[in-house]
Amino acid sequence: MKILEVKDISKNFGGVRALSNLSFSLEEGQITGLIGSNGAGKTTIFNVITGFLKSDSGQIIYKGEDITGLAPIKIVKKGICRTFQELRLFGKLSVFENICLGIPDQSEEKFMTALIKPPKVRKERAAVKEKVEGIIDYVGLTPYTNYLAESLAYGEQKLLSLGRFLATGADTLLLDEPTSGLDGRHIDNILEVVRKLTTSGKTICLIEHNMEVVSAVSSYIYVLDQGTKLAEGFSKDVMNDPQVLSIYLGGE
Amino acid sequence: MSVILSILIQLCMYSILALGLNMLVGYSGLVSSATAALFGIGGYLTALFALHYKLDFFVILIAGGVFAAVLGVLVSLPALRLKGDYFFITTMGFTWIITNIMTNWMQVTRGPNGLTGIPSPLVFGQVLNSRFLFFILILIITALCIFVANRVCTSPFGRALKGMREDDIALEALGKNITAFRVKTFVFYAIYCGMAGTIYAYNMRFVDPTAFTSDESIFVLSMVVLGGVGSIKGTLVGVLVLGIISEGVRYVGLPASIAFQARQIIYGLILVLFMIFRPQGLLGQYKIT
Ligand SMILES: Nc1ncnc2c1ncn2[C@@H]1O[C@H](COP(=O)(O)OP(=O)(O)OP(=O)(O)O)[C@@H](O)[C@H]1O
Ligand SMILES: [Mg+2]
Repeated sequence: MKILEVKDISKNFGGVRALSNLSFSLEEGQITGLIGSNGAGKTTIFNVITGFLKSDSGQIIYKGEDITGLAPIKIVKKGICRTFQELRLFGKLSVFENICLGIPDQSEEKFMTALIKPPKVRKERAAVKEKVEGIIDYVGLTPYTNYLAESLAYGEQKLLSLGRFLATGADTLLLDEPTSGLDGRHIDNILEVVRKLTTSGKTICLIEHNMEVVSAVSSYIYVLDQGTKLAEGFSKDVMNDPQVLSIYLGGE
Repeated sequence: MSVILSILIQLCMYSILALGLNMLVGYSGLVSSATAALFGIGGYLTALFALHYKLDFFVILIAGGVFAAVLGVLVSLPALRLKGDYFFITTMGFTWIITNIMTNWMQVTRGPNGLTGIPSPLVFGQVLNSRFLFFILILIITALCIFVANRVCTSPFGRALKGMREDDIALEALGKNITAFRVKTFVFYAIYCGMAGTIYAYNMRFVDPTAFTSDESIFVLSMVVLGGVGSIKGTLVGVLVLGIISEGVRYVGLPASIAFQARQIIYGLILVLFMIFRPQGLLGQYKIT
């Protein structure tokens, strides 16, 4: 079933046409790959879907509902969350605190509740702690629980960025180049987490530069070029598409 | 003795102002120039209430805080959605409006002459004539203000604020309402400033527009920057250091005309030196952006 549909989205930045009539969709519970060379518009479409940018035209449909132009926090509430290519971790906060900030609806994040601290918040705090520790374990960062995010190695930071957005409980996850800049071992760590996620029913959209990585995990792939869809298909077919190869190898 | 008490009360008052501003600058990352205006609103409201009505000190204290917060939010709400320069400019405009009202609305504020003859505070129905007891009262209030600031800053609410200071876009992407957080920190700041105004009015027994100028805003900002933005302990240290220097200069016996300039030069110098050599302040972790 199509859970998220991108319909005819266009976006200009001044004279730059970042997206032009782009359409694609995500299948529920599957990993969909989004590939394309630098500047193809991959990050821009994530920004449009998650409400950080307004598109010039087109529609975003999520679970049958039009969510075009909603504010970012409303989109998260609907169940779509994204990571950032540049991670945007809270560097001076610990791994634990970073993940805490992903957990939704904590009553102690309200000023008055924080001040009054009614007895019920203790239970909630304990529940949050347990959840957070579970996520830290899930992404394999337990030894670093109390480390500052900025003190982690890049590979661990990427895992933290994954963990932080898993904490939101969103069921559609948009990952912006989760493996870029990593070596083989760390790429495997990340992919393992990503694969685990689909077995728990999450829908994933994966932006990638690395062809091998996408084809290894995605079931369906869209190839973007200059803001439009160049090709689409099941992993193997797209990988062997001569047009894709020429653009891709030429662009690399 | 009375001089010392007066200085101690001023230090308490600056602590409250600086804690309020630290909440805004240190957590929301918003630099406001409205400190003195909000402080002045509290001060004038107190003077008017104390002169015309027999209201209890605590009622006036709370009214001062709330009134400053309401006016402040009304003016800055549109700008709180934006960040940085817009906000700073809006608060500057707000300060001009308030200064103008203080200076020109003769019937109510008596303009440049100010409001004099503020009576001793009424506490639980008793007139509090003793300076010492008044100081104790202010000390307790200050302690409460520190307690509240510390409690919320070390809670999950404070954690979210720290996240916002680090990266507001990332926090928004996690589904947190950053506009609401900004408004809340602004209200907190405005309430603290308004309450400090009440303390000022009762301590000095008169208010006039010169007490609430932009210099005062910058002075409080210097305290926060010196101590360390985003650190409550640091803020209090900043208040002590700058407060003692500035009051010390005032009482060291320099002619009044030089004393004012000396004070300004000293804290201007401190600010510049810190910005160059230790931008995160004495105890802080963060640089002001
Ligand atoms: N905020 C912006 N303002 C102006 N131009 C922008 C903005 N964001 C993106 N662009 C432009 O839009 C185009 C698409 O950028 P986008 O970041 O979406 O590419 P990408 O596919 O994510 O590339 P990369 O692989 O390098 O991350 C580029 O030409 C880029 O310069
Ligand atoms: Mg990108």
